[in-house]
Amino acid sequence: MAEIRLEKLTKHFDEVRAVDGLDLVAEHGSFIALLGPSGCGKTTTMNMIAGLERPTAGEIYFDDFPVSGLGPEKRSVGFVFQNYAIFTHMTVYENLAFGLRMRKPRPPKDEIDREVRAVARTVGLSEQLERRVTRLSVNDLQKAALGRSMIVRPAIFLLDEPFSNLDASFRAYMRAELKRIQHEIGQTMVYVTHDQVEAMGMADRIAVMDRGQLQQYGTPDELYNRPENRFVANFIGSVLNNFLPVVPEASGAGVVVRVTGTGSKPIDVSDRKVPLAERAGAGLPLTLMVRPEKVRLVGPDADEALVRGSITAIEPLGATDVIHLRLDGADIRSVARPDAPLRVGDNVGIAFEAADVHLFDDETEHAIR
Amino acid sequence: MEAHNSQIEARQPHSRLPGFGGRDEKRVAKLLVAPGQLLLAFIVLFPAGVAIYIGFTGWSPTSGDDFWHAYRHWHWFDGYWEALTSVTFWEAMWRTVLITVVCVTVEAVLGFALAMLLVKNFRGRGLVTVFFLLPMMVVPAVSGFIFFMLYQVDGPVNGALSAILPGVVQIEWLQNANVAIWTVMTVDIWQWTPLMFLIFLSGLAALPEDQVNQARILGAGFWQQLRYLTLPMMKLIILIALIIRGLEAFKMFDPIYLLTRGGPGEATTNISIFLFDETSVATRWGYASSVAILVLIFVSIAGYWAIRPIERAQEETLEELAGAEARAAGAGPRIEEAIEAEAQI
Repeated sequence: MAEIRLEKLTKHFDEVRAVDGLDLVAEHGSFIALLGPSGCGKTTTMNMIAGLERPTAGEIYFDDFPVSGLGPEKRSVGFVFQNYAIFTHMTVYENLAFGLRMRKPRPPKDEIDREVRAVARTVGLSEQLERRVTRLSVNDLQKAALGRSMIVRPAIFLLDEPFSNLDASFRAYMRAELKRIQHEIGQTMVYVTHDQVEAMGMADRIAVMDRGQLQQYGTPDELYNRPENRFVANFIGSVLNNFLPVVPEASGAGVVVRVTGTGSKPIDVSDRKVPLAERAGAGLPLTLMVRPEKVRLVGPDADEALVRGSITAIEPLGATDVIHLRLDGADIRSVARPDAPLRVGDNVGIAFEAADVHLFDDETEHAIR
Repeated sequence: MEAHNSQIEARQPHSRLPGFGGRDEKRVAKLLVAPGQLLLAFIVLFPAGVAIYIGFTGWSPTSGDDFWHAYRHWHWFDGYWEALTSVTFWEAMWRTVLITVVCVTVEAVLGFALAMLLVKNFRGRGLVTVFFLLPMMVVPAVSGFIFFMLYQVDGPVNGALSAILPGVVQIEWLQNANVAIWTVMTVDIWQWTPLMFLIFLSGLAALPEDQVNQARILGAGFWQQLRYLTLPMMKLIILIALIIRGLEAFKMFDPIYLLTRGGPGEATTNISIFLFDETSVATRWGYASSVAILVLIFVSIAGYWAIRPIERAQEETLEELAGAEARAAGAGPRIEEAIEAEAQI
């Protein structure tokens, strides 16, 4: 077990700032996901933690011990690569035994054998031990890669998009397996992914990265309910999020915003601390975000309807339908039960709670709370 | 009768040449490729045939007969027998094997070490690489002559050694029978280490980086990586390089001819120089042909043993490809397995 602490971690490749002043703490035995689009610096960060890349600046601590001077072989980390990096000229057994055989002094044969068989049972490869890895399925390759890293009992376990090549159902199975294994061995795990569903489902805390910088670090719940900025708000969520331009207006003692569209009603946002009142005077625009799951469809003339729109498409997902709506100014989406009596072309009222509204500064893209 | 008709109909769509069915088509195809095959047969078989024919005779161009009439000197296996019982022949064979083994080993080790150094990226790497490849591009006649001058007793090599070591160094690089064979080898090593280096460099550059990184993370040091990862993965490339260079070194001629002409005495006479002497100096073409055939048989046997591991490695590669294909095709049933497995949790 170990705590990982990144301080001002920076990596430049010539002119490109792959990772830019990253501060992050992964506690003992926690499961952390590094989430972001490709090129956001998440893999470079992993490589620096593993020791495959040297940081340009900043420091990495394992339990308060600075490690950036150590080679990867001295760090006691396990690393599962996206393409598994299985040793193709060896059998499954030899792959699993590799880490133990590299130890100095080399452990006795029967001890290695015992460990290999134990790990093979854990990952479910007992039947395949003597096979050449070239004969394995992708799913078994994945298990072998996992087992090969587990056998040396690393203090820290790093996984770089390990499930991206698996078919969907096996991916779901491996996600559950990995959580179980992590629970059993209690290592600190860092998991790189671009799939927010994967990150939300597995990690205790998620670090969202974009263009080499940390955007937000928090629990899945925090990221979903309290996104720090527009990027995080957009990246988290399974259905395309709704972003609408609004202009704050003074209304009595408070401040309201209004979605452009037919029959638009004011939404009270007086509870936000940031100087909205001043902005209201200047008429500076903001962006409003409301998650599709929070958008309710009501009758066009209902009291609670904040604006009117028409249905342009219905996307059935089984458990729910995604309803695409057209307002005057923009397209938005809502999630409805499949049995709702809705048809393309219907005029509907769109309603949501003021508490579910996230406001973002158009200039800084930061959340206004 | 009906069945016969339907058979013809079934065949019709496969016939590519309208008007030629079945056997006729094959005959046309054979006719079309015949000229090329005849030419090939001529190129390969004719010289071999002549060598085998002359090898059974004691023919010499100075005998007064042209080679068509070499049968007048027919003596079956006398030439072969002479070679197999000749001390000179076996000594030349022994030197050839010694030169081949030493040169190829040294070149492989040096080439591999250089490739390991230069496969990593650094400033000026391209320039250094080209610099190390230069010897390979020198015409052998020129390099032979250069080394002939360098290795004179009062030449630059002894001069340089005298500057470093106490006293005046006067090693007889080319005149001492015990030294000359090693001197000749240095030229081949100087000239052909770059080829090994080039082959190994491309091989090392193509190694899967993630596997190497994984090995490092699992705690493998430099020598362990080399032994358990780099060398096994480079096996095929190393074998091919050894065979290419082995065959070349076996036939080595130019540096020996230019430096020592096989001397002093016969101290540097390998099989190429031996054959050259028999044909050009002694003009015993019949005997030289028998020796050449003998050498061909030896090399073929050695080559067969050398190529077997390559074939095995190729089979493994094919197996790997087949495995990848099976993985791509076999994803279907595994999904069900996975779902079942998940349901049990």
